[in-house]
Order: sequence, then structure tokens, then C-alpha cells
Amino acid sequence: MPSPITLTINGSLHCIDIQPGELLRTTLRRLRVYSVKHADETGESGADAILLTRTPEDPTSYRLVNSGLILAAQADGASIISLEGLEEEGEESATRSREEALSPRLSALQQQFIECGAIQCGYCTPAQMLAAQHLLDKDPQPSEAAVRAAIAGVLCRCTGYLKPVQAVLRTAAQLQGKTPPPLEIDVRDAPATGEWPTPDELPPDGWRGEGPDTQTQTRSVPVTVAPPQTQVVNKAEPKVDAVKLAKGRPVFTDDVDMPGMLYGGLLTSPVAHARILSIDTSAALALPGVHAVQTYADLPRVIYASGGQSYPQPPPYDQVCLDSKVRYVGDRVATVAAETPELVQEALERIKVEYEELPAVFSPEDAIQPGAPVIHDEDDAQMIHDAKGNIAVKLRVDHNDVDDALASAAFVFESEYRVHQVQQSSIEPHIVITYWDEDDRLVIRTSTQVPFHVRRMVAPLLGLPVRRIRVVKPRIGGGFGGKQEVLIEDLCAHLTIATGRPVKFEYTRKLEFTSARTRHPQRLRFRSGVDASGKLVAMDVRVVADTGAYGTHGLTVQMVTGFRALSTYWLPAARFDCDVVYTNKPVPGAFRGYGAPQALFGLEQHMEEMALAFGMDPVEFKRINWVKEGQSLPMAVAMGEGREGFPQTVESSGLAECVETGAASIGWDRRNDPEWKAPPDRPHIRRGIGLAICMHGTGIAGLDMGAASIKLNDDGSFNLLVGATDLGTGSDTVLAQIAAEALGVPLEQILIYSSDTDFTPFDTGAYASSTTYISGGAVLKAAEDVSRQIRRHAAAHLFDGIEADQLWLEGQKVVAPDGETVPLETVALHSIHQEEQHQIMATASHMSYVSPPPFAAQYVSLEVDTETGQVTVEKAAMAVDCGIAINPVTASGQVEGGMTQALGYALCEEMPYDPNGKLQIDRFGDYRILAADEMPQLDTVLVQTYEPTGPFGAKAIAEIPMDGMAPAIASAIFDATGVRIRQIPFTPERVWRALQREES
Amino acid sequence: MAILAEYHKPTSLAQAFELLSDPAFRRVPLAGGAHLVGVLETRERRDIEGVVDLAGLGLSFIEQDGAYLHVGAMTTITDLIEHPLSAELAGGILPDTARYEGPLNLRNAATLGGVVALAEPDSETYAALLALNASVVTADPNGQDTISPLQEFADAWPAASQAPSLITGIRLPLGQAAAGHARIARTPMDRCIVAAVAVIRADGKSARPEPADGGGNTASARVALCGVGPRPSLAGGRHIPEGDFKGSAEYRLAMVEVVVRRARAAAAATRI
Repeated sequence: MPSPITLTINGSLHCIDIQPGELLRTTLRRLRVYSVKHADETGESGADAILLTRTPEDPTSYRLVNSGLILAAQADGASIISLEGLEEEGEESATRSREEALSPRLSALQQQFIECGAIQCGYCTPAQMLAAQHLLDKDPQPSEAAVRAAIAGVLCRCTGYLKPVQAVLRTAAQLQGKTPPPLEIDVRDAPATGEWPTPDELPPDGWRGEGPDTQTQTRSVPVTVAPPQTQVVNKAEPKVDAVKLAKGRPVFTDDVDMPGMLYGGLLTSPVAHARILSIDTSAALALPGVHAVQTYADLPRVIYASGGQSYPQPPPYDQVCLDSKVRYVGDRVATVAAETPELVQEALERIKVEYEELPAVFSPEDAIQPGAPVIHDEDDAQMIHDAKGNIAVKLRVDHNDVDDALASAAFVFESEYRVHQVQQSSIEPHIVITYWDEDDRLVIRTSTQVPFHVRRMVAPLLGLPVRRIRVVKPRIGGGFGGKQEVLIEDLCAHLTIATGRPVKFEYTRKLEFTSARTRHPQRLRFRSGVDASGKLVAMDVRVVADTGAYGTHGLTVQMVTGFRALSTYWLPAARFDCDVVYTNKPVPGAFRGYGAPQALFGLEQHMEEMALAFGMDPVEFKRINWVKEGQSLPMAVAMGEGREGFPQTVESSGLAECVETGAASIGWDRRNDPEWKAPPDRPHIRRGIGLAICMHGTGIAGLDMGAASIKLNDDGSFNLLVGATDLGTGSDTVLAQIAAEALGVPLEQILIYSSDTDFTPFDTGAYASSTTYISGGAVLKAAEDVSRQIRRHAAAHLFDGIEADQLWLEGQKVVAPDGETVPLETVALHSIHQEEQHQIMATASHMSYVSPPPFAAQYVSLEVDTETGQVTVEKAAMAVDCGIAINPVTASGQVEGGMTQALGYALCEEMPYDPNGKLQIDRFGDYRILAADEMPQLDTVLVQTYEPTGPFGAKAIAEIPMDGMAPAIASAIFDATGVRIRQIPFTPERVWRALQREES
Repeated sequence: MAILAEYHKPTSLAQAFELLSDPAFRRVPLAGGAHLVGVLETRERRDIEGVVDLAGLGLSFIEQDGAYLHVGAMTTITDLIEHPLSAELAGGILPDTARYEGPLNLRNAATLGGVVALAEPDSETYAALLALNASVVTADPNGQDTISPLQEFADAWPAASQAPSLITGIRLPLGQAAAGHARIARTPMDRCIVAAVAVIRADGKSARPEPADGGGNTASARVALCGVGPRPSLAGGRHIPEGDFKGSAEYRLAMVEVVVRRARAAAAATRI
């Protein structure tokens, strides 16, 4: 029965009827306090934290608590402060001046969060800022440790916490009347001469043969790097979306109210492999308020692949919306739409499913055995490599004759590595709202990385033409690849079609773990040969990958594994042989790094182990072999994204500088200091330092396409419409900076909107480290076109006797060589209203046949407790060549956040299963993502080169931070203890066992 | 999604007992909610119709009671560890262990009674209470208070057949003591895999021979362990850990010697 409670929220008294089981978070959101976010059910995320007290007269009595772990009834009579209330603090009058209303104020903390780049996706930001403000109210001069402890209960998956902590400390200084020192982002330019490739000599045995690729087909002149002469690009501009995120405004998918909206829910399989003999939905449908229950019997059977990728989807096509067979614990069984979330839950629990259980397999090794249960025995799946053998995809790429090369090598080394399954774990779960608009078009408001792929891909599943679907992407609370998937849009849309009502469908955290996407586990075997001088002559990589129950992304992720394994070091001959195998486990998909972290965990250790076995210094061994400017990447041709690729030459590389800079940051020389390595006062501790080289790509060559439209407004400002999807990375800011630079205006003159399939041009979406390079290329082209139009109109009408190509745009003006200027506003008004009236506007597309690699060196220093196996990372450093950083703050934020995720991959994140294939974790905490108060020191150096194919010289940075931490940690553990561990994660027990084995 | 038919907030123990002992309704006490609201929300517990919020019973207090610190069961972990006496007790072992109970926003909701009732195997706060030789105060419907040592209480809790009783407080012996703490976890602030808390008292008793249990625990030197049984327990005797993804039974057993040694050494190294 509903009962009334009273709550004082940000100073206003509210009386509201609540249900006995209603969470305080639910009540607050009903009262439109949208800064309070749902991220989990058990409180570990802290995204719904608020300040609460029962004695508001004592301001120090407020406590930070999670509103999702308190019943609304418990809070009856309490006083609550949410982020919305922070800005009102200290205000003497409740009425605002007109100036304030027009230009909302920011608190010191909000300002610092914005300036420091502490906000990425912004989903955890409200809770994080409340936690910080609460600390500052009690302790105006907190230590860094105090700041970290204060915000530790609010998990962030984007930032690595460095910039939020910095923002809080700077706020404290500012509030004390001190001027915080200027923000320091370590940006250096690689040597102006670039890095000349060393001349490569032919191996004596003539491996080159008839092969089409040679090592040095083309050499480009190394590009001279000079500090860019730019006004907006390469500057630490605040993020264009920062204010709304800092204020906790309703910008995410969930932050809307729709009249008549129903809630959707999913029943998942409790068994790993079974046929559904019957489903009885009658008891669920009998509940008043339940509007639809859908099973395989209710939906058309359309075969598809769920990975959000370009047309045509890479095979296999092995999914349908709802099937009569389940293939893992967590697989889709039935959906419900009902009036309340509680009714949804009750209805789901009333659905009776009769399963005929089938034998299940949980490892690729078991799945490929003869007689193993066949996971995809349906007769309508398409393009599975060997369905009876459970092999989804088989990849085999040969470049020259590896066997010959290895046979003639001076030294051959072979080693094997294992990587495990982890989860993207964006703090905002997957969430979709679907509804019919007034023109009978289906609107899908969804937290996705790939709005345009979603529209194209759901159309056949729903039986609607693309033209009747509109996909709207609001702000996204993190994705990391997990939202590069049509995961629940289809199910939600089917419920809207069935009920005619708006439906909201959000995953619980448990569903995120069991029924979303993960990283592919792999077993990797490397066999390489070198000549007498230590130069690689061939590498043979064999990978067995686990794609779980469905093949989405299985082909392309593993192709990237092969490409990364065989391109980082220059190889005269190479072979990649890979089986992507079905098992009855939750499904891997896209996850930041996309096959590269797996490859590099093996490759970097293999190189180090080989060097030691061969008798060379590992760093020197890597140095003479890593790919250099001017060298071609033979595997780029052999391995496209599920199709043949395009030839590519490395045009820019600051790798040597990265290795040097990173070594200085980490204190590489300490490797030779016995007192540091074995501290005398702590006899069970050993310390070590490790290095991994990283090389990634920048977009998918010949495939990724982004487009942008730019329109001149009356006042000389510009609308920039892009299909690109900012997941919190700052891509909207970076794209706006590119436009601003090209149009000679400050950043605030660019009004960027992204993205809506009705209004913005196409973009493949946020993946493959492509947005700055590909979408940025489109923005630059569109801006240059608009610039030409402006200059042409100005030359024709507003200057006297000057050609358009003599003019340039600068300082919001059109400038002539003689110093005469005409404001952009004048050109705008003139062109729109006065003479030769037309809209100055351009749309441009961009794609690239090359994918210039960013390079990096990642270092860690750590200590190993030799009695317990516990590994504690002291510091992680990354020096990265991302070309010219369009925005050094957002770029370094990508590095810090990526390194933090990579630390989790190496140390503590894990998806363990019981013998029946049931996941043993279903909450944060058990699934440990690093918190603010347990982070190692992070150091980022941007080593700038100029990439001639990128906008203003840019390359990618988003994924490369994910790639090398695990092998760097393995290397450091080896340095500390002499023990090589070829499997992640480095949990205490795994390390302890390795140390025990070594002892015995 | 917490599906509850009832929420009650009694203002007396008698009312609370009346609500909890009504056989017609499946009701449970709500002592903060940091755990219970989560298991309701995830539907891990589906057998609960109503909750009886203990927040109105005046059980949030910390007071010195002679040689004891008496802590009300509804006192939050934060209130406990921020109390001046808490920092003094055995060198501040409660604040030291409580930060591993969870971050601030969870400690602000979780109560000491909840920690005792749940007895989670990896609760280092619970282990500290054991090592400090805490007692549990329970009340029964007849208004009778019972004080029992925590380890005895734990053995008998929760007893379904017994008449209902509520944890109303924890009694902690004051007096000079030193404590040490050692832990193993996947990350620095993760819940522990295995941990030990040692408390050595300097109240003169140690001069006399004391009866010791199998683990060498006496009234003046006690070591409690996490992660080697269904709940934290005093060191010694037979530990039968259940292995899980954080650590196998074999690993946990092997680590007992390490953490006990380190915790004892840390306690011994502290001047009382």
C-alpha cells in the first residue's frame, strides 16, 4: 500500500506517496532529481550517492549514503542534498538575478572538474562531486589520501581517478584563496628528424622469394615535428559537454519521463545448454498491469549477427531475437512489459519454462573434441565455419614461407600464454527506451556506440523499413565496446510494437555480467626465429579463442589479435592460424583494445623470453625488431576487418622516444639497485620493473566512414552535426576543436550535436580508435568547404578586388592580406538575408585506406609479496605517440582511464564459473574494478609526432593504453622474482603457486 | 524492484518483537539496509514480506560503561570509528579494519549490529570484534537482556527454533591493548581473501598462566581470522575454508600461518 513520506530535498519540502519496497533513489528520480544514477542494485558503484541527515540544522551531520541501498520509507523526514542542490549553497536569496538565470553559475568544484578534465562520461560525476564537496566541507585542506578515501565509494570506469582527485585538491586550494598552479600535461615533441628506419638487409637464405611484399617498398621522408601553430587544436580546451555533466543535468537515456511508459524485463536461462520444450506465460499475463510477455513463439525468426559493424556484417549469423534453444546461463528466454519494475519482476518469476537440458562445454579445448555437444545445431544459421565442430570462425593468414624461414633461423623459440574473460563494466548499464512517434515511426533512444548500425540492423529484426526507424543517442555513460552491439534494442522495440506503448528496458548489474558482452579469452602459442644478429626472420602465431555461445565480433576481434601480434615487430615471414570456438558461456564481443591486449600479453612476453633465451637484452632485442617509420605493414594487406585489407606504410613513429621517456619516468635504473629490489627491512618483498611496447591502429582502413555537416548561423556561429558518438571520451570536444581551428573561431562558436539518425549524417560509430581520425577528417573537410564558401561570398560582396583564395579566417573574421577584416557575422547576415541569399553549409565524408599506428611504451614498477603472492603496483607510466594531440587533457584522460582498466585486466578482474557454467560473480566488488583509494601512481607523457594523413597530424589514443599493462606487469614480476607467469590475472594465489613451483 | 508488502518502524522493542514474532507474516529486522536492501533488490531473498526498521528503537549510541565500551546495535560503522574512544581502543584497530568493510558511503549505512548478524567470512571488523573479546547484548520479548561472548553468540546464531531475539548492542572491553592486522587481497582495498587480527592486552592478566585454546588464544592475547571458514573465527582449531574464485581452500589454509604471524608481530611491535 502506498504511504506518504516527507523529504526535504535541496531545501524544498516534498510530500510523496511511496511503496513499502521503494528505493529512495526511485523516489528521488520520480521527483526529477536526475543526478542520482542507477548503476547497480547492491551499492558498490555509489552512482546514486546523496547526502542525508535527520538534523539539517547541523550541516556537519550530513552523511554520504547510497540512495539505492535505502528504502524511501527509511528516509521519511530526512533532509537530502543532491548535486542539484550544491550550486544553491551559500546563496542568500532564493531568487536569482536575470544575469544568473542566463548564465548559470558553477561552484568552484564544478569549475575545477571541468578545467581538469575530470569528467569523461559524467555518469558517476554527480556522486563523485557530492562525495568530494562533503569532504571539503569538513576538511578544507584535505590530503590526497583523504580525497581518494572520500570518493572511493563512487566507482569510475573512465578516468582512472587522477583528474578527479586533482580537481578536488585544486578546489581546496582555490577555496583557501590560493591560486592552483597551471595544469601540467606532459607533452613533448618527438625529435624533429623523426626516426629513420635502419636499412634492412636481406636474410642470406632468400626468404623474400616471390612474395608481393618487401620490407621497404616505400620510404617516406620523416616528417618534421614542429609545435603546431594553432589556436584551438592542440590546446587543453574544456569539454564542450562539461557544464551539463558537471551540473548533473538530465542528459542520459534514462533521464526522461514519457507518459504511459512501460518497463521491460528479460528472463534469462538458468542452464547452460537446453532446448525449451514449453513456455507457459499465462500466469504472468494474468497479472494486472502486465501488458506483454514475449517468447520465441511470438517473434519472427530472423537470423542475424549482433555486433555493431559495417554492412555486410561479418559472419557468422547465428542469433535470433528469441530462440527455442538456450546456449549459456544468461541467454535470452522471454521478455515482459508491465506498468512497474516490480510487476515486471513478478511476471518474469511467473513464467514457467520446461527445459530439456543438453550436455554443455565450457572450454574451447572441450568444445572441439569429437562428440562434443553441438552448440549451433539449428539449420538456419549461416556462415558458421564448422557448426558440427563448434568452430565459429577459422582464420589462416600466411605471409611468405614461415616454415622455411624458421628452418633456416639461427635460433627458434616457442612459448604459450593464456588470457581470460573480463567485462567492459560501464557504470551506466545498457538502457533503451522505444516508442512510436506521431508519424508511426519507431524511435529508439539508446545508450549505444553505434546508432547508425543499430538502425540498419534492427530493421529486419522488427520487420520495419529503415525509414520507419529513428535512433537517438543521448549522452552515454561509458561503453568501452560493450555498447558496440545491438544488445537489447530489438527486444525493447518488439515490446513497443506489441503494446503500442513507450517501453524502457534497462539491464541490472547482474544482467550486465551474465547477459551483456565481454572480452574474448584466448590461448596463444608463439613460435619465432631470429638470424644470428637477433633480427626476426619469422613468427608463427596459433590462437584458440573462446567466443562463447555466439560469434558476434568473433572474426574481427581475432583478426586484430593476429594483426597486432604480427605487425608490432617487422617480420619477413608470418603466419596466423586461429580457431574461434563456441562454448556455453556468456558472449565475448568488442572491448577496448579489441584483440590487441590479448595479442600483446603473449607477444611482449614471448619477445622478452626469447631475447633472454637468445642472450640479448630484451629492450635492445625489441628495438632492433620493432616496426619503424617508412616500413610497410605486410599484414595490413593480409588482414582487413573480415575482408582483404590495404597496403600501409608507417609514416610516423615516436616509439624510440616513448621508450626513453617512459624509462625515465619509471626509474628504470632501479632494476640494478639491489636494495630497492630486495628491501632489507621487508625480507618477503621483491620489487621489479617491467616494460611493454604497444602499437595499435587508428580506425579500420578502407571501411570506417564518418561524415559531418557544418552550417553557418546568423551570428557567425556554426552548427556542427556529426554521427560520431561521444562515449565520454571527449570526441565531441575534439571534433568541435577541429572545426573551430579550420574556421578561425573560438570553441564556443561551434555548437556540436551528436547524434540522431534523422538529423546527423552517417558515422560508423565510436570504435576502433577511429573518431578523431576518421570523423575528425570529415569535420576538417566540411569546415574547409564552409571556409571556402565564406571566403567566396566575402570576396564577391564584401571585399573590393580581392580573390577568395587570398582571404583567410581568423579571430571570427575574414582577413585580407592588407589587414582589412570583415566579421563572420557580417558575412552570415549578408549571405542569408541581403544579397545572393543562400545557406552557407557543407557536408563531407571521410574514410581512409590507411590506419596509422599510434605507438607507446608502458612501464610498471611493483612489489611482490613472496609469502602470499600479492602483487602491488606502485606506479604505471605510459609514453605514447598519438600524433598531434588535438586536446592534450582529454588525450591524457584516455591514457589514465585505459591504463586503469588494463591494470584491472592484469590484476583483479575475472569472470569465474561454477562447473555448470554459472557465473560466480554478479556484482561490483566481487568483480573488482579499481577504486580511487587503491590506485598506483599514474604518469602519462604524450610524445607528439605529426601524422601526415590525420587531421592536424592526429592519430588515435583511445585503445592503445589498454594493450601493454598485463605484459608489463608480467615482465616486472619476472624482474622481481625470476618467475615467469604466462597467464592472467595475477591474483595472489596464481602468483603464490608460481613462486611455490619455482621453489620446488 | 524490492518487492515488499510492508515497512514498519516500531518505536519500542516490545512493538518490534510483536511485529517480528507474528507467524502470519515473514518479517525481518532492517538494521541499516546496506546488505538487506541489496538482497531484496536483486531478489536474492524472495521470502521476505515485510521489514521491521530498528532505527526507531534508540539503539544508535556509544557510551562508556565502566571497563566497557557499549555500542548500540544501530550505530553505523562510521559513527563507531569516528568516536574518540574507538581510536584509543587497541591502537585504533576498529578504524583500521573498518575501512576494509567498504567505502565511506557503505560504512555510513551499515551498522555494527548488521556486521555481527551477518558475520560475513571476510569481515575484518567482525574479526577485530572477536580479537577484542567483544560480547553481544541481545534482548528477548520478555525484556530480558543476555550478554554472551561473540564467539559463543556466533555459534548459536541465528537459531530459528529459539524465541526471537534482537541484537541491541556490542560490549567492548576497554583497557590497554595493542593490536596488529595482516591481510591478503586482490587489490589494496578489496575485501580480504584471508586476514588476521591480533590483540594483546596489557592488563596484568598475562603475568599469570591463562587457559589457552587450541590456537594459543587466551583472554589477553587473541587472534581472529577471516576467510578460512563460514564466518570469522578465533585462530586455532580446525579451519575448514571454502575455496572460491578469490582463493582455493588450500591457498587459504596455507596463508593462515603467514597472516597470524604478521598480525602477532605487528601487535607485539606496538607499544601498549
